[in-house]
Amino acid sequence: MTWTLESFPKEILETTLDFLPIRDQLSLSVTNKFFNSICNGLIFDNILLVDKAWHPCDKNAYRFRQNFRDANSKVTIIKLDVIGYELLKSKNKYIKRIYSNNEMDNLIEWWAPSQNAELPLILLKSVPIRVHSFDSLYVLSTMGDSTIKNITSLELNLDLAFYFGYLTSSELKFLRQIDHLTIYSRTINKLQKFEKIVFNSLFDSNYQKGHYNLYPDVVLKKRRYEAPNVKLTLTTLIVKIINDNTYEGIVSYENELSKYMINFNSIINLNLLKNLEIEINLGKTLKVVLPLVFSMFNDLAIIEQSEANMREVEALFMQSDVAVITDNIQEIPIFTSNTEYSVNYLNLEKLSIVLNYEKKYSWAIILDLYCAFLKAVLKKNGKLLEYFMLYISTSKEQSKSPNPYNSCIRNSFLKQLVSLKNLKKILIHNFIIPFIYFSDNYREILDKLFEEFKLRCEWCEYCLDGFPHQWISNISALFEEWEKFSRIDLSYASVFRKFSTSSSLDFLSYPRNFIKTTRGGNFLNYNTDITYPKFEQFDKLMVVFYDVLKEFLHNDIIKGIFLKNLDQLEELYLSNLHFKITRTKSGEKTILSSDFAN
Amino acid sequence: MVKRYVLVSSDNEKFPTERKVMEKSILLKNMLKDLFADDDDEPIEIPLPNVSSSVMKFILEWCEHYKDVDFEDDEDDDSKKSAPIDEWDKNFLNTDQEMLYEIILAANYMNIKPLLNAGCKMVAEMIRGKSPEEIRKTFNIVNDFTPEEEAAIRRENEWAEDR
Repeated sequence: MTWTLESFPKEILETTLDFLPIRDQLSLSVTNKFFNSICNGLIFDNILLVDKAWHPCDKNAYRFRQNFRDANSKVTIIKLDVIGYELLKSKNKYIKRIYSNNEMDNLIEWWAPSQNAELPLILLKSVPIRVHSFDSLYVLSTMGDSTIKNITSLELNLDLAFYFGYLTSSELKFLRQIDHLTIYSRTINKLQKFEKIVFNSLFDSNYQKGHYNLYPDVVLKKRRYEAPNVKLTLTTLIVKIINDNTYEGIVSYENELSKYMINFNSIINLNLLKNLEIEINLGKTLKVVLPLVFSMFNDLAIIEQSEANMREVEALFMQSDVAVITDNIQEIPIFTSNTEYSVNYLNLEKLSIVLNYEKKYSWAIILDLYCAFLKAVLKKNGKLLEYFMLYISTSKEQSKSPNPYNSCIRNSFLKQLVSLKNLKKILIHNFIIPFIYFSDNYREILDKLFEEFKLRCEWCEYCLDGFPHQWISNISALFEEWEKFSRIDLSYASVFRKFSTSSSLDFLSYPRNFIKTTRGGNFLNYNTDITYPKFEQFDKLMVVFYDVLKEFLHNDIIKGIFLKNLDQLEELYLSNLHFKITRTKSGEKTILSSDFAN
Repeated sequence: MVKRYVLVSSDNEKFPTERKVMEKSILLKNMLKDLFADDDDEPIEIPLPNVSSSVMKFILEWCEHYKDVDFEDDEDDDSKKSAPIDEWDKNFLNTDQEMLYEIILAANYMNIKPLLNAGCKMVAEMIRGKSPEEIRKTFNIVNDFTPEEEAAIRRENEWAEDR
């Protein structure tokens, strides 16, 4: 019998490959398909190195999965703990690319050439390397040109760099080769010091200093420098403005802030500023700051806990046509990775607004802001909006206590949404609005809801003509269907993924199916005088309310919301696609909107 | 010294062997420990149906050479993996490919890890530094890639070339 290498047991082949450097393994992998499969099994294609504290459910993990899902079908996640290190070292498993979600310090130090000279550290260009110590910076700078050329983006956290007095020539050389250098600090002094040490030598011309030398409470948390472009070009800026009203000289503060903004405008090219987050403790300076901010920047994230202040924001915001107002979106990372939204961003294709109701916002404010924003978007763009999502969550604790602003929903959200005449000008492919999501005591809610709707149904004059009673009386059947639907996946993230990734939304066929089963007819044809829009033109349509049913129910809102949403959808369809609907009784379309629930 | 143990090859050739030599094989060591008592004076025959007599001679020669050496468990020792093959082993295993394969398989079967590693290192040495074409020629590997597939894999592997 003639033995061949291919006839070896796999474990012996793997043992053999263990004694070979990666280059020879790759040579063997080219010989034929068998060895290609063997060798590929030993080489990690893509590795996501994650911090040792990483948890599969954390936001970083989710964001990375999102980011790399399309580009990389096979990603091996290795924690940067002892086991992870050993795994990396074992069996000559080489790495083509490294994705790291967090601190690279441990990895970089471990990967020092003296320890692992044969292992290449090939870093994905698009992933910023975050360094929190100058030791790591030193290691990186001494890792050789092949490593340096793969690192184009570096983020340096000055707050965790305990000491930096000077930079070595190799470190300076390394920094000069970084295309995007971002430095962080909570204190302006460290930024100044770093810039004095580094940037005077890195960017010796046209670098404009002093713009940060402002008011002590105006803290520039993050700066991005792009080299070799000498001119300071910020694309992302987070400004934290603190005003606790106890600081002396509010007026001077405002003046300084104004100067700061103006000065800022003169230094940077605002057209390059794509993303701005401003944290403002809204106090007396509100009216000064916000219009200024609104007028200068395209993208805003205003983080504010006070409802009263947000009321003021709302008032200002409504006057402005440039703003995005969100809650602290960091807590819901699934939607925060998309920073492409911008009112003025002409290529706006995706828009996410995340409003976390666990914060102290009121529904009315949230929804008003949402509507106002939508208005602004429509006004500014007047063009295709392919993706729109609004996500609202509530905590159970808050659901227990009626929200004083709930009654405002009718008068703000729905009313304003109805008034969005600009919708006529655009075609909304994917319009996702709150989706009713049933939670724990779903059956109890359904029963109560059923009763409520039955009562309402008896109040016939408020029913739409052609919107038959039995449809309403069979509302429980509707929710049974919804229950089935919700059983597909109870996690909101999954639901979102499902609908955000599917090209056609099954849910759209649901109302038709439901009506067919409950009325024996077809919802779309219940009135032959009405030509309903083609649902196919709305790729994604979802009504989303998350865990707020109880609250709405207690506040006599749910039927209003529910029916109004249906009505609203009709309005949207009709206004967009120029269909007409005939209604009796009052003859007004608003009969199912704000007045209905009263 | 009377040889109490006899290994029987697949072709029924008998190899009287002392216990210390046999115990270089973990398979035989465990077998002796589990099945045969020390006070048994009867000669013990142990059949090894997966090992031919020609290979058995090689195996026993290797075990005889290393009978007084205690091998450490170096499975996870990267430095030993990257160490060059022992000179004696290199000369010992410098035989034709088929015999080398048989020795490796027998070492695997008999669980003689140092010999298995030495054999695998020999094979690795035959691969090291060779181009895919040379590897094919050395091991009679039939290239079943289409030219396009091979080109694609070579492109895929380029990342290792510019180190």
